[in-house]
Amino acid sequence: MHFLENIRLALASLKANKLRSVLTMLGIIIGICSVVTITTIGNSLKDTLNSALNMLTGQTINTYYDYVHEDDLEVKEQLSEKDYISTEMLDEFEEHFDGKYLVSRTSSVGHGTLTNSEGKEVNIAVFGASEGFIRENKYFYKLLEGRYPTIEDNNGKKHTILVSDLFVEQYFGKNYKALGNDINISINGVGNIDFTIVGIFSLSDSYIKYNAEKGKSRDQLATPAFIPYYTATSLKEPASDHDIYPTFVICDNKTDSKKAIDEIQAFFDSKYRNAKYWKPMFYNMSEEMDETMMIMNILTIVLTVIAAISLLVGGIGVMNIMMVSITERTREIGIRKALGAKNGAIRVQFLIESAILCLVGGGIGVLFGMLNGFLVEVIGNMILKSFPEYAEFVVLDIRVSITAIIASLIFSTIIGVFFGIYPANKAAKLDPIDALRYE
Amino acid sequence: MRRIISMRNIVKKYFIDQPNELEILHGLDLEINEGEFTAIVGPSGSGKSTLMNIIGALDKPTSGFYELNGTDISQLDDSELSEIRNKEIGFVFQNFNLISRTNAIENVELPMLYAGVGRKERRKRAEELLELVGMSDRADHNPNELSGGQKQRIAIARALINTPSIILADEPTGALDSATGRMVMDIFHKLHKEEKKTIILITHSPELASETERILTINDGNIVSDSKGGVTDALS
Repeated sequence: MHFLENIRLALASLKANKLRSVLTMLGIIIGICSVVTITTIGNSLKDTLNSALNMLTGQTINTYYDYVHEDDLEVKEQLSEKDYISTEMLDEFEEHFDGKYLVSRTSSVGHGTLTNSEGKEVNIAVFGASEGFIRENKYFYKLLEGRYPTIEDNNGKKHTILVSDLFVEQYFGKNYKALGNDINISINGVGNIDFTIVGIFSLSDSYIKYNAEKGKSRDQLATPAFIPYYTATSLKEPASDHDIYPTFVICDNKTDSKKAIDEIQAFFDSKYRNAKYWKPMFYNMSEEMDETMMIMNILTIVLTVIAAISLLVGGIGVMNIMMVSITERTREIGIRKALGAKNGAIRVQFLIESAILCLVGGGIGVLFGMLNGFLVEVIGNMILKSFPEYAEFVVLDIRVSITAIIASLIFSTIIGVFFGIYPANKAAKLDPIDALRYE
Repeated sequence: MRRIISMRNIVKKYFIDQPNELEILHGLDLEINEGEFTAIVGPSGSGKSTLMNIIGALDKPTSGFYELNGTDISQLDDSELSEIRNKEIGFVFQNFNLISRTNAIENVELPMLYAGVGRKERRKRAEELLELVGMSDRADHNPNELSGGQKQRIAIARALINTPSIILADEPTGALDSATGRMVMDIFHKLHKEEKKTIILITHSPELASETERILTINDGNIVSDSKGGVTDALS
């Protein structure tokens, strides 16, 4: 007996008892729907979190200090200033890697005031920043035109400045070609200091929205402006000479964080060759999230397993209805056997019927699961939109994984076959004479 | 003439080795030749049905020898018996035994389906047979849309589809009124005369039996008489 004939037969028999088939399938539908919903939402949340995190921290390497000899149990000398990475080391670092890795360096200078040709006062917040810092925060400060502060700007303590597009609008007027212009700033009330605009960056919408909510209008908003790091430190001494926990930025797309950590570690290891107790170590934040991700994975798996238990219940329902169906169709089985159907043919017929019942239920379950995923996406994004400071970076993107769908369909078919075995065997073993006589 | 069925010393017991052990057939012998139209008659409880089940390979004798069309089938297993039923025997039942929710032509095709024949060939053969029993115009009707006589004609077409060595008809007119019963019997006569089919008719109606070539009377588990019927006159 051909496979396709069996499928046709199974479908015909399910169609003949529509209501009963649907009710039987319900268990499978709910089970598969839950599994698909949970895995979809779980995986999508993980992906969303991962990509948001990666976007914000994926390209940065952070520093901490650790014992030189890990297994040394002696009382340690406390971490002190002489153990810290020095400014000179960072300069050497940048020179050594020549733009492949940059150091994110920043220092706050203070409040800057400018008066434009029309006599309007514009305020800015002046920071010293290296190229690394602006690149690190590229999602907040996106370079529109011009350039980042260079090492030469930095070492020469040049008076170059990067300003925001909003500042250009406030000071010069909308769409003014401000690049290359000199501006005169009084910083913290001191002096008329000239700076040349070398770069213009756009502020993220969320930054503006966020500040606008604090009651500052777009026009009055004091936007950040960046001058070279050493220029800044010469204007205002930073609290400390050391950048204790420097952040490094990977500027090379082809280098992943693991390789970067290795190379940075190697560089500083050579500097700390003679260190007795402490040396700097490096890590990537998103890698630190692996544990969180693992917990989330476990949670998804546990919930999926719980949902899968409901599939078991569904399977028992299928088995029950198959038993009923076989009893009802005893005579049909007898006829088929009298006409030459072997036990195997009867077994296969009912196994396929049970498998199809579950497969169709599984298919409907997958559809409902996808619908649930879609609903969660819509609702989730509506909720996210009410947090404007995140909305730009975190977009919930629910994707139903094809693997999950195929696995669900295969799993429901397996359930159908598994719970069909007993009834199908019972049908196959019926005695043809008794079966024919059955009323 | 070729021998189609030979049975020697067939014994059938139920509840073997139990206090209520029951012997239905007590060493029965039977021979049927190719092309014969035989009636087996006997009252209820005579062992008629048991004999029919054994002839039809639905059941195995407890002891004895049964050769059907050259195959000793008393020793076959379930699967081999299925094959024998499929290829060698065409059943026609009193209550038609068509499969509901399956249309006429698919019912006719069923034995061929189990024989593993492809769809096209099945369809072609089933159409020929529906033509033979005059049911071509009802091919796509479901059994519940057919009258008793029509159902039985479908069942006869189904019995013929694998060109079996014997047609085993168990009270084929029992559920029909006399006119349709007559028509069904005429089909059997036609198959016997024109197609040279070997037909075994199980009935308790002496009238129907008398239409056949040979009448075997069974009583109390033994064949008590073997006489010639009046088949030659029946058709005219």
